[in-house]
Amino acid sequence: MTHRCSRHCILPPGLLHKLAENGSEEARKTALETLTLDHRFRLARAEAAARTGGRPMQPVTFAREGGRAQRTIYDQHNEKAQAPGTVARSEGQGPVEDAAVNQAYDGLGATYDFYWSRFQRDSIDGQGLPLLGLVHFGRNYGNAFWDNAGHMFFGDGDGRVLTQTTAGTDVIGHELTHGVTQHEANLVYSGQSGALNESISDVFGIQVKQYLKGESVQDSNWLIGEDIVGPELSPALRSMVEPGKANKYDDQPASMDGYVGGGDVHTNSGIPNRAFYVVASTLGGNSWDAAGPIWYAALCDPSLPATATFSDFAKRTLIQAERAYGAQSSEASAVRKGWDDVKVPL
Amino acid sequence: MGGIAGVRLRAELDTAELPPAHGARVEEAVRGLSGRSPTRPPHPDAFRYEIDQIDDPGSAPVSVDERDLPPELKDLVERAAESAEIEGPGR
Repeated sequence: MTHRCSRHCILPPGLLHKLAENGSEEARKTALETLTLDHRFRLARAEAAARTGGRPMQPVTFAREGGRAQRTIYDQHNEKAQAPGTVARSEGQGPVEDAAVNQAYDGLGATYDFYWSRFQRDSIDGQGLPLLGLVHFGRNYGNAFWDNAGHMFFGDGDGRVLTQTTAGTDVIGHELTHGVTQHEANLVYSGQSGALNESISDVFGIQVKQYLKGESVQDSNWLIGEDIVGPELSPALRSMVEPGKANKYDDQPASMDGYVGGGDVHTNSGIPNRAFYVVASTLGGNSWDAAGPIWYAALCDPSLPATATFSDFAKRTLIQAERAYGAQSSEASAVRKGWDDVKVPL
Repeated sequence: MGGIAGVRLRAELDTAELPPAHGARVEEAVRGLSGRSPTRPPHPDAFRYEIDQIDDPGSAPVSVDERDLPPELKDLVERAAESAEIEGPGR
């Protein structure tokens, strides 16, 4: 008779999750401790990658079946502590009274579902990283951000510049995509690589919103942040169709003719943003049909350096388009047209 | 500046309007930021504060990530940000 020692068994995170929800008190405690430890490994890996730039080391794989988000929303009670506050809603729990909590929960889920259904990507790191949303961060805090350590922070807004930041599905998609980028090309957050980092977040943020709403490239207004802007920045933070025209302070250039040397990463991101819009709208249909996969493949291309220029990225979108659809395809032609429109050399 | 909105906000604070001891701590905290290098790379969409000492023209502006604001400056900067005006063309 063989003796089976439970310490030698590998429990998949999905089973741990079920134990955490439905198990006995002791089982719940053990499962939660294990999931926390699991999470710490992923954070340590991500943190190391963020410190040095460049691609993270090859991840350790876990026995996990993808397709299900692991969301936890925390209430920061208007404090600015960086550590998670009170659990406000866990995965599988129904809606609560706090609208911001529900919006964050739904937005994280929509982003997870988009990446899983379109790219078979299991969460931000491709291995089921738990999605942690921290709402009511700070007092009148007009911002939302990804902290490079596995957490997405949401402010309630100041009512002037921004309002409740959980209300923007594209914003949530934008922030979580910073995590995806961190785990892929890990684009350095300054100069052209930083503007690319920002643009990629807008590109996938808008796709998450369009996908959720069932909007085609023609239906969409291609505005980023329209659901979270206050009167000062109305009607939106950025326009992917007409960079520079989203609000009265919008200083984004629409092509390399207007590139701002030393400019903020949110300024020059208008250039690759418009390139994506041109590619997607040229092809028609939905942005996630071809343009999105081409961009995703370029982001995940191992040859894309952390210090990539717009041109470095553009070249890889063309390579990926030709690889997937053919050198003479309408997709490859659209990619050339997109980058030509914004005057980024291929 | 920075944040997901990518706008530049500007506010002025006169330390003479603070209680003397508080004002002195604030000024010392600002001087302590001079010459400091960032302790870690900025996270995406972080706020970054640029503090310019107008009454000391010989001093260089200091730049600090919101996470690295010293405690003496945190509340003050955040309160100033609440009433800050957006800088830009304002078409």
